[in-house]
Amino acid sequence: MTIADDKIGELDAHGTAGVTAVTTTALGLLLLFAQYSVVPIDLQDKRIYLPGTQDTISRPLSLEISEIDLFNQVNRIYDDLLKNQIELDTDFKRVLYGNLWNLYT
Amino acid sequence: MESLHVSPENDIFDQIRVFLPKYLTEEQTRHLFSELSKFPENLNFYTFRPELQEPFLQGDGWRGFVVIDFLTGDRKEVSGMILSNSCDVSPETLRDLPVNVLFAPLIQLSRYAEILRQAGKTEEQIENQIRNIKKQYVTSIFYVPQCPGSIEDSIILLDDIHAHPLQDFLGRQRRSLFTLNQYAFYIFLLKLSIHFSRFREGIDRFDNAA
Repeated sequence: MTIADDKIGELDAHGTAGVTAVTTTALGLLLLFAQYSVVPIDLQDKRIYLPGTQDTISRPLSLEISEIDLFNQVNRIYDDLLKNQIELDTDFKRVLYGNLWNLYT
Repeated sequence: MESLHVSPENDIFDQIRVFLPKYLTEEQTRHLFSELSKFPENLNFYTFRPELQEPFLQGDGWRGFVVIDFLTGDRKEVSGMILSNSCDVSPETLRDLPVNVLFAPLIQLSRYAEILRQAGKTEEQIENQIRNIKKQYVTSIFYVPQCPGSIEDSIILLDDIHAHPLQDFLGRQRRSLFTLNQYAFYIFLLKLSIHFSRFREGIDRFDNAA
């Protein structure tokens, strides 16, 4: 479990405003795929509400991307690097370090 | 010391902000998110803003560093990547004492592959090695993709670090090779962090009595 996941879990358990913000962000991204830029009917009658979101496809995506989304990406990369990290094979290392001086550009 | 009460939800967002660039615009936020989400395939590493080519920034590539062979004392001018914190090597900062620029020499990946061939490694072994290097999975190596007109696909070794006095470097013929963009800078910091700073080092450092 990542640090962010852990924190999100804590917030989730208590139902705080923090988890509301996280949920809102996730919902925002989901809605992005369910919206349309042009409504097929005239919406002069303000009592009519369509299930999608009118006209927001042209808004910057960053309206839907928050700091926690960025942080989650950084965290994902950190986890990926940690999980997949490997040492250089001994033979490869020997060849590399034995020729360093000549390999410098 | 006076304690500061911070609610959990404010705390996590404050902590997150510490790790993110200040004053991100909406467009920059969207762009950075997009770039990060494409790791490890994303090789868009460089910014070409002219005003960022002159200062010495952490992660910059420069031609003009000098390495000294510990055993023979030989010297060689090389291309290298700055590991020092940007503030620590800023020429504008007034200091009481001289400082060194910490750098790691650049090594062309194609030349490394060539000596591996000469050492009898198979193409499959070499390709596997290079694939892992390019994904940044080899802990002690930071992969630096080609920068057109400047460098070929290269690597630096995070355990091959040298120091060059800043004043000497300023007085030398030198040339900027590349400047990392925000995305690549984050990858670089993560690699540095993993290589040098491991909270879980697996060693019990407590006194026996503790």
